[in-house]
Amino acid sequence: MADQVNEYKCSNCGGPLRFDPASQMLVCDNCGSVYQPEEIEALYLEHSLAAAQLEPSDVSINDLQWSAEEAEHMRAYTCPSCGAQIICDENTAATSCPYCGNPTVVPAQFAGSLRPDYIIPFKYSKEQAIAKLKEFYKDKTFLPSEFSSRNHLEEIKGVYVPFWLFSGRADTDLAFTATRTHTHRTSDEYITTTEHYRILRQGSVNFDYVPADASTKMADDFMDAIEPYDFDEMVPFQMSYLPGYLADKYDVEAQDDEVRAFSRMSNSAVSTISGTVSGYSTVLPERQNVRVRRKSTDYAFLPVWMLATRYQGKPYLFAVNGQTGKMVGDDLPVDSKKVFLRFITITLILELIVLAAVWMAVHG
Amino acid sequence: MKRIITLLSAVITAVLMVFLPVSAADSAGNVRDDYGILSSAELAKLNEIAASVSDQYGVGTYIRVVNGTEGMNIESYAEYLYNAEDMGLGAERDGILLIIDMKDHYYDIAAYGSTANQQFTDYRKDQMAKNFLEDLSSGYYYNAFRTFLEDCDYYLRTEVIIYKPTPRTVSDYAGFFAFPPIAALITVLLQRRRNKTRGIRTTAEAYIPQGGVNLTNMIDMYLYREVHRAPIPKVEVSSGGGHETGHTTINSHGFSHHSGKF
Repeated sequence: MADQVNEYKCSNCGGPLRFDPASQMLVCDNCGSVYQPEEIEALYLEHSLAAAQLEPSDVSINDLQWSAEEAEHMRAYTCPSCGAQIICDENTAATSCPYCGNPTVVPAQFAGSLRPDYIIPFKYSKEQAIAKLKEFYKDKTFLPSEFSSRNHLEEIKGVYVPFWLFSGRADTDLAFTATRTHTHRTSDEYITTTEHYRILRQGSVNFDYVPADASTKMADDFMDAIEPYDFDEMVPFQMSYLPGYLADKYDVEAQDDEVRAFSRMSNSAVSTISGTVSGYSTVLPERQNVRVRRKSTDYAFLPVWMLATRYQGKPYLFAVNGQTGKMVGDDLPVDSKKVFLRFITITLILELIVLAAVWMAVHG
Repeated sequence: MKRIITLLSAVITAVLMVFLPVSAADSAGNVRDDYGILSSAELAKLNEIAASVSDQYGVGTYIRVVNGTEGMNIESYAEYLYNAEDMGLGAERDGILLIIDMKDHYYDIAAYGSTANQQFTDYRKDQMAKNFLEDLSSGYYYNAFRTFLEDCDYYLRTEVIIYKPTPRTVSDYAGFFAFPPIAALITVLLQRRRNKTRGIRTTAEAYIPQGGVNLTNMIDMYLYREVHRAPIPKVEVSSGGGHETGHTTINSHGFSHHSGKF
């Protein structure tokens, strides 16, 4: 069990550092100092090595009042800032101390093969994410008014979600039957000519970085829906991007996500290659053989702003792509009164229009 | 006494002359053949039928076979003859005349008077011509004329179906009032759908790099051809310019015509 956490501190005033999406730098909110992530990364490499020599926390997770099963999945860390015990999930890689609020990173979660290959740093700030949520609510006509007013938007959290990125090639072999039909007319009959064809298409389609979230905490349909990410902005992983955000290490193995990613590649390969069949009246698939070959699997942290809230006892989750600002959410609650009023209003307006048109047809 | 009887007879005759509209044409016969294409028996039979039709409906029914139209067109000549021979029955001189010009092989059906023009619409005159033209062109004149007279009888006893569009009322458009709630329901459902944003992705087009598609084999093989022929449904076209909708084109002289060559 790793008991050591890193807190990235300002070398000027000792205040906590956080990653600022706007400047893509680590900033100190106390004195305003800014640092390059690489600079802090190098500085803390030494610190990290030294910290590894520290004595483990003298409080065992089993000493706390958790059941054995719960304790198995919990980890206790000592906050280097205030000395408080931080209890978190076994997969937690970055968090903040609940007592002093300082952002902390658990370097052991990135040791060896657990270290992500890449990271897309947050580009969308918390303020932008909150604005996006407000905009999302504003657009929803039937959303109960008290739903948005009771949401604590300021509690939105920046989370680096672990993703597997699959790159591969889909070798595709397709066959279709197709027809081309044209009709012409003589003086006394219509003549329809149907030409029948057999179409063959073979080829390969390459895919780079098809993402599949590697965290059981994240619903697949949420993480799929906030795609796409722009992987041109992906950089090699550095822990110094994490301060100020939450992060978990993966708990879904790559081979478990591979099936879903390969299925997406296969479907896209078929539709892309099928797209070259054109100029026919009808096209029916006859044979579809697709073999997806893996080129590489990368482990990356991708940025997501998340807000969990409750309304009438039901949980609602919202996510904003931390790179592009794309917004997704649980199916929102619907105010039946608003639905009924909208229905009546539209009906009355349209009935009046129809009535006016009929009156003009009868009397005009 | 004898003079009184003679005077009384003259007065009665004068009164009868005034109140019984016996036209000059009637005295000349309903059917007259100046060209000699009918036998006297045929002429007598046709006259009998024409007189019967005329008496039954109060619409004079006439046939004239002429040798030339004195420089007039067939329609003008028909009108001239109709007036010159004082054809027609009743106060409005209702009547129908079939005139055949054997010199130039023209025919004309001319109707006059409100009853005749009402019963012999453009469409009906066109149908009558179609019915007798084949016999007329083939030299079966008696048959042609008999057909004409029988058609006169038929159309005089058959009421013209006049299509009058019934004025529309609001109830005719009742169905339209069902659309607004349906449209509103669709709009509301679509707006509700906007509350749903999640969804599993099943494709990965966004991750195909530039030049990532490599097509190695592309064959479009022609197999065979099928030809299907369907006849075009025939559409009845009326050449008379009118339909059984009660329309009759009447000229400024009060006549309606249907003419042509045979």
